[in-house]
Amino acid sequence: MMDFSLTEDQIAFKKAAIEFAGRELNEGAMQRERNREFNQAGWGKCAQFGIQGLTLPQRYGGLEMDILTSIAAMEGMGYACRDSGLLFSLSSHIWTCEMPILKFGTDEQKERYLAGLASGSLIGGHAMTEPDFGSDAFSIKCKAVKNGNTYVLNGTKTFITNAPLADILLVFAVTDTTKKFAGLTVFMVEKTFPGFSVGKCEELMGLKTCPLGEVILQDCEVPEENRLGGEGAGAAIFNSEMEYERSCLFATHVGAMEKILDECISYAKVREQFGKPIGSNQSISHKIADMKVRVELSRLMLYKAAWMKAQGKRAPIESAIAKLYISESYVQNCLEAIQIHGGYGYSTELDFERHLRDSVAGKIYSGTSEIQRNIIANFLGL
Amino acid sequence: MKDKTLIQQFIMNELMRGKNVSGLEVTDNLIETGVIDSLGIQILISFLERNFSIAIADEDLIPDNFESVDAIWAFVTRD
Ligand SMILES: Cc1cc2nc3c(=O)[nH]c(=O)nc-3n(C[C@H](O)[C@H](O)[C@H](O)COP(=O)(O)OP(=O)(O)OC[C@H]3O[C@@H](n4cnc5c(N)ncnc54)[C@H](O)[C@@H]3O)c2cc1C
Repeated sequence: MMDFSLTEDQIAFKKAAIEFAGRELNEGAMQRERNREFNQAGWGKCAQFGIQGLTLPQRYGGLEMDILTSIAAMEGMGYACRDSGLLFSLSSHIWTCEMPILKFGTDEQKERYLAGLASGSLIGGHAMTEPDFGSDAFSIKCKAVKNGNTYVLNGTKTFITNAPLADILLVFAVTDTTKKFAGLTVFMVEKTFPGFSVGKCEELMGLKTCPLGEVILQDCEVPEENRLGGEGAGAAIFNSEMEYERSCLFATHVGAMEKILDECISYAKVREQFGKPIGSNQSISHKIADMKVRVELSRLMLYKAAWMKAQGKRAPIESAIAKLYISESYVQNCLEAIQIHGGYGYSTELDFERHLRDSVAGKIYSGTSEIQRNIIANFLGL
Repeated sequence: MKDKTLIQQFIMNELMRGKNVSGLEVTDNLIETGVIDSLGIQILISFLERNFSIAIADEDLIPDNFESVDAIWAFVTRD
């Protein structure tokens, strides 16, 4: 039997997330966007609501929600919150830092970090990309050499979400150059470790309120107890993490697309030209119908991929399809929303141009659209 | 009857296609020769889970288990 409906509890929790985000996170959002300012107070409020601890066990202070309920809540956040930078920062913290520690960490490592990450007192992220290796992630050059009970890391990471504020980053480094992708290892690097520093902060087209920058590891000393998984487990951790990210991080995009759709429907009903609502023109109503199709298919794919992860299944194709379809649909729907709102849509007074700038990044991070198509094609034997 | 040759055939047909590697012995190192790369391992895992009715945990995706056809065979047939 298939059941596509959320439970009453899930619906209630999603509604609570919508109310919370609308009430607590939007004041001053436009100004913060202009100033490229992270909403530190909002981060704290999200932690109090339980966002950073959504998926974490209660023993670490988390809400211990299942994946689907967590997705529903994040979809609600995406619907109501006008600060995509904050949402992206939260999502990276959850899916690229907390989840791998929860899945691959030892009990001691979980004790050490998860409570702080759940309470929001620690900010996390992950650092794979390097100046010369983005899509070709498994060719990274950052090196980790063992010296007694310590690893010494050398390398530079770039485009690292949360880096300027992060207390802990999962850093991917090469421990065995002969083993190619199987020679990668992950380290939980704290900002206080000797040899760790944050380089330049990237100025981006969108997601301006999200702190993002370069990480420099210069003879950075990482104790052995901060290795996540065994030596050579880096690729498995990265692939697992990417499946969660591609399956779950894009929940906020689906929420944002729903909000944009609602606004387009309302506008098409009240905006009159030539003595009738613009929505009575088929060229406008069909645009909106297509937007609705993209929202519904995005949600189906989001929930299917997340459901597979909730079942403990592997979802390499499904997560690639979800990521690809949702991110491209978000961009497309933003463009349609601007067109439907005419000059007002193009103005910075409304939120659509901001959404468009924010949406474009989704086609790049977590593996570009081209890489998702490569993955899908490869699984088809091509 | 599922045996080592099933794995060997799959790797030769699906993962070695287009790569400049000829022949495959069951002891050949698949990782160092680049026969299995980061995407190839995911495709191989899907194949193994489907054909050997096993669920492979992420924690088991360590190089030692996938280094050669022999190693993969030992891994999928372990108790
Ligand atoms: C907002 C944002 C946040 C990010 N956060 C993080 C983070 O927290 N941690 C982290 O590690 N990284 C992060 N990244 C980096 C991101 O993962 C990379 O930008 C991405 O993987 C692409 O790498 P690249 O920028 O080097 O582009 P390149 O890999 O150089 O690609 C350039 C172009 O070539 C295409 N291309 C490359 N190879 C192929 C191929 N084989 N087939 C077809 N097309 C190909 C790409 O699709 C792209 O269009 C972030 C990026 C952004 C924009």
